[in-house]
Amino acid sequence: MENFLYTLIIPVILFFTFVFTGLFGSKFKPAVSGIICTASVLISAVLSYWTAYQYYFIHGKVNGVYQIINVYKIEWLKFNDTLSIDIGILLDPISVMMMVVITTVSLMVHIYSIGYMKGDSGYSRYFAFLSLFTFAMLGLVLSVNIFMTYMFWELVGISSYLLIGHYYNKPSAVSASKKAFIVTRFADLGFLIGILLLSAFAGTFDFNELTNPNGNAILQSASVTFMGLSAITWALILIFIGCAGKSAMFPLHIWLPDAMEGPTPVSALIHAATMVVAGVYLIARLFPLYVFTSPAALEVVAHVGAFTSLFAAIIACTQTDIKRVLAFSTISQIGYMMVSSEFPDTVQKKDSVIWHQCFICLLMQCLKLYYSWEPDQLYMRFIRMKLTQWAISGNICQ
Amino acid sequence: MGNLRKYMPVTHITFLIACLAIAGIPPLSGFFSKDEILVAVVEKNIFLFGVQYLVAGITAFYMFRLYFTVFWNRDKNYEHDPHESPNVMLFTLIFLAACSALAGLIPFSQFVSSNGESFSTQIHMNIAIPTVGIALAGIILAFVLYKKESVSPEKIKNSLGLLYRSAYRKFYIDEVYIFVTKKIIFNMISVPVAWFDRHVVDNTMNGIAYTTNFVSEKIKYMQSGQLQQYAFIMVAGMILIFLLTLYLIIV
Repeated sequence: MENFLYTLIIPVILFFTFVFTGLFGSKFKPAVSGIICTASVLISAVLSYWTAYQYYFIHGKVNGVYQIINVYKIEWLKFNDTLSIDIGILLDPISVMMMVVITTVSLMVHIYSIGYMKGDSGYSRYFAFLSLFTFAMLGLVLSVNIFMTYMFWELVGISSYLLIGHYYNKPSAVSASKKAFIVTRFADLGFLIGILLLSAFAGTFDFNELTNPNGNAILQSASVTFMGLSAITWALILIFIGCAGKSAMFPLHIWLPDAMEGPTPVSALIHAATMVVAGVYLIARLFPLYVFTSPAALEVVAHVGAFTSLFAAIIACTQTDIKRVLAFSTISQIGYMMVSSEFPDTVQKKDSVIWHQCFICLLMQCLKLYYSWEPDQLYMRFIRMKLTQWAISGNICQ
Repeated sequence: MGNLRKYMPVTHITFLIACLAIAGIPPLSGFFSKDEILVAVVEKNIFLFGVQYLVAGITAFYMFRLYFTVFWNRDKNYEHDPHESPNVMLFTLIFLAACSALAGLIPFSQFVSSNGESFSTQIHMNIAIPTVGIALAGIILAFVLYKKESVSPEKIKNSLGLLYRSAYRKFYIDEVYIFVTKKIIFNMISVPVAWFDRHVVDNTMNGIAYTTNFVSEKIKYMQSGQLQQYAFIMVAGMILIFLLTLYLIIV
């Protein structure tokens, strides 16, 4: 078995870049932090391509089945013999693919931001947070343990809050970032309760054991029922609430259109790369658990997804602001992905995830070009004006 | 805003690719993922399939509504001339456009599945053709409404009336949230709790402090710091106790 230990570098380098740029970024010229961050994301991206190549084509497959590889795992917090919180890196087909997608999109956003943020007073702060966000997302998808996922989940939340509120002297950006943070926080409460409930029955946080069809998690949980549904169904529905918050499912979608207040590359990163697919990713990760223990929870997921996709698509037809249209388009597409999760081949969903990321990222970046024809220093004011103009011209066009 | 294709050709092309991809036109990537999702859904749940099928059409419509409005249409007067972005930004656009165009050709089912085994997928013509059909219908509708403007969108807007207005206001979900948080949680719960805190809790604590203060104010003269006075009181007390004891013994 090939030693995959070098994958540890992929997230960790971004964390060090964050610390370095965050602390010392202001000591150098702004361009320096941009280059450092972009270079480290480039290293991550190259390493993850290499990992993907090694995993998919050379070492990952044993007897025609892709193996789950725990590259690195240390026990961080031990509760009893079976229950402990571990920190580590898990490679399986889904996480490797997500890793490639995240590093690629993040690299594109970094490169794009070098041009886009030129002249911004918070240049190095912006790049530091961008690194933090990418680090958090990578930690989320590579985690070995549902509790580790939760920790990085929160880190994603906080870094998206910081990024959405980048223009902190603009009241609408501040309220948008608070809205995103608070709404997802409510959802995360559901997620946390779900994790605790799940681990109470399964006796483990570990993904390998949770998703093992013959494991404890699945055997022990069916007996207890509450309000007509088994306890595990409740746990999985609660976890889905967490996913719905991050993935902007109805009725927790309200933060996403407002999150467009951040710099446009951030919208691209949040909408496309990563944050909104975190929910879909988690469902995909726990998919065997959903299938074997609780088809009812999957029904909930699929119906919420279907409703959200239709609901957001209808809204998107009437909006007059480009960014809003794209925001609702995102919500609609994520709903589409959620629907597919009712059906036992995660491939469709992951397929959709990656395509969706490419489209939305592309759309967001195209969109950005309209802003950049404004070379003026009083840039934000102009964007305001432009937005109103567009709203008006959009209305005329209708 | 309109007619931007003259000013921003690269953006125009990449945006068009993205729109076609998200609308699910083959052989761009969106087609494959949409096809696979719909194939999976149609076998299990025909109702969800109907919803998703409809959404595919609506998606094509609103993306092309955006596209025609932004890039075609009549020329507008811009305050500043729109221009193409710097090369560093165009690079990412072209890269991502290539991704959305070509990524569908990678056989992802070989690599990603729920149990680690690869499986093969093929395109299901009985699903794919109607899906492309509804996407094209959406695009044509957008073309008629927003490019040719042979039918005025205004009329449709008026005939839809309430549905249009509520969709425009995002079905009032934000207002519902504001209502629930502000009117119900703030007014019904937070305001009474704040009143209780301000009046009952605060006044209890203030009352204790005030009483303590008042009493100490009254008794503080006993502690004058004069040694003679203390000695006097001490001796007087001793004498008093002595006399009291004497009295008790005698009686």
